[in-house]
Parts: sequence; structure tokens; C-alpha cells
Amino acid sequence: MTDVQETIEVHPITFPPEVLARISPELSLQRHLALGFRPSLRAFDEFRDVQINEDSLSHFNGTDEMKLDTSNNILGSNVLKSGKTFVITSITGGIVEDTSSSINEDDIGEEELREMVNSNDKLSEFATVYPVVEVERGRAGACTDEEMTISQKLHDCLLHSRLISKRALKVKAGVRLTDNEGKTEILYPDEIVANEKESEEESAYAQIAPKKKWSYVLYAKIVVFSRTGPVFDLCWNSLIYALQSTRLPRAFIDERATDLRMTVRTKGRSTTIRETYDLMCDPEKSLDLNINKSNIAYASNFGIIDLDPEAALEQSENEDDEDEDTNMDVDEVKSVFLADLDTEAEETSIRSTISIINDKNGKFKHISLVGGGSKITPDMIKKALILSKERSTDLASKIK
Amino acid sequence: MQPQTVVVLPGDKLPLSPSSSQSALTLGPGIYCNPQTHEIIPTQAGIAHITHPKPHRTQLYVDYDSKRYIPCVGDLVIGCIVGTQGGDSYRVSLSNFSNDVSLPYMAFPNASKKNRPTLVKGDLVYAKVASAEKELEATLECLDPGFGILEDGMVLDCPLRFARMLLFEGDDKQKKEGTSSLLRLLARHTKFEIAIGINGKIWIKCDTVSDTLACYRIVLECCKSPVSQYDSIVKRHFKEVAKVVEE
Amino acid sequence: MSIIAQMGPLTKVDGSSLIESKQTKIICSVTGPIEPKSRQELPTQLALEIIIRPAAGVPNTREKLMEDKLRAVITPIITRYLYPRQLCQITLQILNSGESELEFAQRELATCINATLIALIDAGIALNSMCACVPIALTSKEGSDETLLIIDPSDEELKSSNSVHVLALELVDQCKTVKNVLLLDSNGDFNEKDLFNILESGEVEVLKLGKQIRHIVESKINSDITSI
Repeated sequence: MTDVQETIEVHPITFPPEVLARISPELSLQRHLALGFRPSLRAFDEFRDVQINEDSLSHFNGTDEMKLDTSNNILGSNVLKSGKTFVITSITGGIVEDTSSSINEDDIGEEELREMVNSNDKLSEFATVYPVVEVERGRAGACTDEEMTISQKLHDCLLHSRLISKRALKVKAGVRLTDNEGKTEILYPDEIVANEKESEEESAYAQIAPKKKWSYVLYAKIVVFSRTGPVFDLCWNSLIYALQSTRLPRAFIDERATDLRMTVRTKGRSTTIRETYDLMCDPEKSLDLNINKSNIAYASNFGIIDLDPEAALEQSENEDDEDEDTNMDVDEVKSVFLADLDTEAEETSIRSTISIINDKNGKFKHISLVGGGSKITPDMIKKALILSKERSTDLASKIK
Repeated sequence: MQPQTVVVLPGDKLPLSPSSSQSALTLGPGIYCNPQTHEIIPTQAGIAHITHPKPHRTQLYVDYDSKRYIPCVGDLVIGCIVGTQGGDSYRVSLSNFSNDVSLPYMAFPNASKKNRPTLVKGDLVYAKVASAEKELEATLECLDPGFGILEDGMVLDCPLRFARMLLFEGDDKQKKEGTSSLLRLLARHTKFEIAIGINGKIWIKCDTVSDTLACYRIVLECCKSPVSQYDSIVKRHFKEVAKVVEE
Repeated sequence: MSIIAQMGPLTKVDGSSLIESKQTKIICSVTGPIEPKSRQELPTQLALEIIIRPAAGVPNTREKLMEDKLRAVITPIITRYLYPRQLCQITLQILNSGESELEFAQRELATCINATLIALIDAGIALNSMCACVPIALTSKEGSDETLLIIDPSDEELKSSNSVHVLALELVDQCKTVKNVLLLDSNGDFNEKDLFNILESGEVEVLKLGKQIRHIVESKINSDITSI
């Protein structure tokens, strides 16, 4: 008798759903999936809605407040909200001297030679931006691996997408002239061509036109607030939106700077003083960044996870007999295909992912299949392609 | 059924006969049973040995070489005392950078609360692995005679396969005479004490330092040489050492 | 794709490999399972520390991204649950990148994956399966729309290509069966047809390479037996 009394009774421990999701994300996810839901209550192939706020921060076509702020050097921007996550992209720029193309234009031979050498390098005609991704987690310190890999991935994908050609980033430098009355005027080469009657000015420009060449360099600062899941595709989409609104400032050099060389020569001190061009950016005039519109593509991601029949026990209690039968029959694992991964549970437990950057016509720029978990079948890839096309169409329609 | 040996790589299908699926399987090193799918696969590249000690009983293991030792119950190992823990056990290192294992004070012969072993940091011990669970720290014991501190001599690192061969060849010796083993060859030249740790450590000690040195060099070179050359390696090193001693 | 591989060239680490494929040359070392730092420790499985060092200069975000992709390939093939609370350090030194580093990393990544697999086998770390990885480039034929698939492209071929890809597959059953796609990393201009072409033609090449890796490992095993 005593033995019986001493037996220990095992109480099942129950947790509220939110606690279970914290302590055992995998089990919590499996329970949700078995019921046909995701923890986020989205359907399996449902994406989060994306809201964008176009270009409100930039210097040239932002809000009035931003325009008046002279210290604002943002060339293009985008604020993207998807679920609880905010992504803010601001594009800034710099100007570098083109050393490779600073050769004299008269010397066509050298230019041709360079082009011949590079003719096989298709990628060398294209530029990229230098992104810095910051995922805010409420602590300071060195950047995390995730931030570094996303930044590098954005950089690589943008280069390989052939979205920005190097030609689009060439600076068409103008010249600031000061006439006798002290009135200044800025002449730009392409503007002169536009109104041909001022051939006088054209020749004036030709005389003082800078011999050097410059290019714009674009930087993108991408800040992610309240990260809830993988953010690469959010960052990419935000970056692409921002680039579409980017305007490059017109740049000019002062007439006096071009004069400098002359002065130096007459005084005979030509060897010691070098010509220095002070390249300045026009605070008012700007040009659209000329991107290859046909190469614009948007990102989406998918995950595949095997359903664990053991994790779904709860539900089967009601239909005991039925379930036993099905369990016997269905020996092969059932897997579930999920779109737009979010939440910690999905991120940590789903190890087979598909990430796609494509446009609505099915032109691909990037694909990454990672099969760390359940098997990626061709059918799943096809399904992902169809959904990603739809997603791209939707995302493309958001921008005016 | 005949014992089978076959070269396998990780993930290969093992050549198990259909009948053996009904017999009791004993899985040895290098074989893994996936807890979810119950698939039995080799996880190491090496020679798979499939034997049938009794009818309806199959033993499986992969013989592979590696350099890092993972403790297994019953293994004879050489460890280095690296500290103490909690006042009741030593911390022992079996291989560099691996997790240390513990050697309780009570795992020595005649140990009691008052009669404690007197090992210090840096001492070598010859011990047997008493418990080894992958989730827990392994423990050693020095209860049987022959175990315990190894004084003087030299210890060298070698591939695990070589250590195994040396140790188990010694066992075989009692059964079949005549095969020329390294230890036998050494014994022709000098008197020596040897402790072979399965963890790839061999401790060797002779009466004179020069002989110890010769043995050390011989064993080190034999790790990388085929058996047929053992004889000449042994002779050469003893000759060299003798020459130095003369000078 | 063909590689020249050496198994275990380094004596002071648990496992190592040296791989040469065209101009690309990489040495890999594996140490483990060892005691991890407390922040690396995973309670139920083996933690991996992967370091890729470039041919010139200090490691950059470029190498970090390669490490990330390598980790995605290597993690599923290791029997991680055999080594709870342990660490495995994988270090790769690129001796020669064999490609324009500013634009491509495909050759290096593919060779890193193959080198790591061989070094892991050499170290005796338990693996669930084998894997093999090839870089692929797609070029358009001059004057036509037809695309040409180049396995194991050289630097020049990468540069003149329309899109570049890295395909790593998980191989089981004597390296005859593909278990899963471990990684397909594609960049550039391509379409759906190209994608499935890569998966199909790539599979054939990966299986061939798998056979070659198998041969390298088997000959090492056989030479070890004869030496003792």
C-alpha cells in the first residue's frame, strides 16, 4: 500500500502561448502550423503589407522643411514600413576624381585601348552604392555579423543587377563665371547645348572647361528599427525605392580656379603650384539619377519547413481513431511553404529558405536557395517564383 | 555470415544484408543512428567493419584515423593534471584545447577522506575513463594497479590510430606469437616502461636518458612510417644516440 | 570541374586540406571539437567558428559574407548534436583568389566549401553527408540569344558572363544521390529557364566533383592503411 501512496504524480506543465513561443519557438511554430496558421496569424503564402514614404527627407525634393535646411545632404531617401519593422534609407554622395579617365580627351588612342582591355569585363561598366546597414537593438558597439553581411550582400546584388551604369554617375561639371559687374552665373555644358543661340557662351565654356573628370559615389545608410525577422529584402526594397528618387546635385568649379593655371604660367612658377579645382555642389540645381529602369527588381523571401507530426499532438486528441490511421499512412514528411518570413520563431526554426530578387516579368537579379532543413523541390521553387513575381508587381506599383 | 570490411564515407549506404535489419545491431564508433528517421549511416570516412559475433547479432563500426580524442568509457588514457576543482577532484587535460575531464580524489586505490592522492599540477596520470556522456563532463579513475602517476620519462603525441594499433597489438601478442611489433623491436635494444593512451599520447621511460630519447624519436617516426621500415628506424636511432653518447 | 586536393597538409591541427582549382588556391584547417568560449557555447549542439582570410589584406565584409554562406552549407551536413557544448574552428586562408575580388567571390566560395568538407573529414568530425560545390557562369553566345553554361569559369569567363552562380548540393549514398540543395547563390541577369538549367546541368557536374572528392578521400584512407 505504501508503495502506491508514494508514487509521484506527473503534472503536465502548461504555458501561455506567448511564454511557449519564447522558451520553445520551434514547438510553438509547429503547433501553429499544424492548425494551419502562422504565429503572426498570416496565411502561409501571405506577405506583410509594405507602406512606403517616398523621398521626404532629401535635399532636392523632400518636404519644405528639409529643402530649407542647408546642412541636409541627403540625395534620395525612403522610409519603408513592413509589419512592425521600419527601414529608413538615406542616400548621400561624394565626388571622386576619375583617375582612369582623366586622360586627355584628344588622345583617343589611349581611351580606345582602355576600352578594348575592359570590353570583356561587362560588370566594370556598372557602379554600385556603398551601403551601411544598422539594425538598432538598443545597444552601442561594433557592428554585428548580420549588419556586415547584409551590407555586403546589398553591395554585391546591386553591382550584379546592373542597375546603375558608371556613365550615369559622371559629373558634368559646370563653371561659375563672374562678369564685370560682379554678378555670378553658372554655366553647365549640357544647358548650353540646349539653347544653341548662346554659341558665344559655348565657346566661352569650351575655353575654360575643366580638363579633369569626376564621378559621383553613392552611399546608402540604412537603419532598421524594431527588427522582428530577417531584414535583407526589406533593406533591398527600401534601397531600390530610395535610388529611384535620388537626385544628383549639379557640380561646378569656379572660373577663378580654372584661371589659376594661366596665372601660374605667366609668373613662371608653373612647377611648384599645381592647378587645384575646387569642385562645389549646386544647392538648387539637380539632375535625376539615371538608373537602368529595366533592371529594377524587388526582393521577397520564402521558407520551407517540415511539419513535425509529434508536435501537433494536442489537436489530434479529439479525433483519436482517425488520426492514428492517417499517421500510419502518411509516412513521408509534409512540408509547409511560407512567404515573407517574420518573427523569431520562423527565423530560427526555418532553415530552408529561398530569397529572390526579380521583377514582375520574371527577370531575375538574385536568387539564393539555402537548404539547411527540409528539401527544396523544383515545385517549391516554381511556387516561390510565381509568388515573387506577384510581390514584385505589387511593390513596383507603390512608387509613382 | 562473413565479416565484411568496406571503405565508407559520411552519408553512404551501409552494405547491410536485409536479414541483418532484423538482427540486433550494435553500433560502434563512426556510426550514427538518426533519432528522427532511424536511418543508420556512417559519419566518418574510413573502413567499415561489419561483423556477426552471434547469429542474429550484427556489430558495426568505422575504423578511422583522427587526431582529437573524444572520451569513451573504458578507454585507457594519459592525462595531464591542470588543476583541482571543488576540493574533491582533479581537472585533467586529455588533449589540447579540449574540454578538461575530472578525476575524483576517491578514484584512487585506498582513497579515503583522510588519505588523499598527492598529485600536483603538471603531473601525468595513466587512467581509465569511468564515465563519458556527451552532455556531461567525462570522469576518469585510477583504481586498478598500474594506473596512477607516470613519473619521469617522456610523452609524445601521435595519431589516434597509431596509439590504438600499438595498444591492441600488445593484446594480440598473447594469442599469436611471431609478428614483429614495434614494442618487441624496442625490447631487443633496451629495457623500457611504456604507457599507451588511446587519446594519442604515449609515455615512455628507460633507465638512461639517452635510451628514452632514442625510444621517443623512434616512436615519433614510426607514427608516419609503414611497419616494414620499423626495424631499420629502430636500429638507426639507437646507433645515432649511441654515437652521441660516445662523444 | 576538376580540383587538385591534398588531405592533411598541416600537422598541428586536427584536420586540414589544400585545394587548387584553376588559379584558385585555398588552405583550410579544422580544430575541434574543443572547449568553446562561453559566448559561443550552444547547449545542445556543436558551435562553429568560421574564419576566412583573403589572399591580400585584412578580412573585410566581403569575407564575412562568404563566411555566412559557407556556414549555411556546412552547418546542416555536420552531425552537430553529437557534440553538445563544443566548438569547431574552421579557418580558411585564400592563397590565390583566381578572380577579380572586387566583383566576384564565386570561385573562392566554391573552393572554400570543398576545402572545408575535406578538412572536416580529415579532422574526424562526424558528418551526415557529403557535399560538393561548383561555380557556374552563364554567357550569351555572340550574336544570338542562346545562353551558354560554363562550369568552373575562369576569371575572364566570369567577367564576360551575364550571370554567376554557386551551386552546392548535399550528396549521400556513395555520392550518387542528391539529398538537397545546400546553396544556390545566383547574381546577375537570368530567367526561370536558366535557373532550372543551372540546377539540372549543375547537378551532373556536382555529382562528378563529388566522385572526385570521394576518390581523394578514399585514396587517403587506403594509403593510411598501407602505412601502418
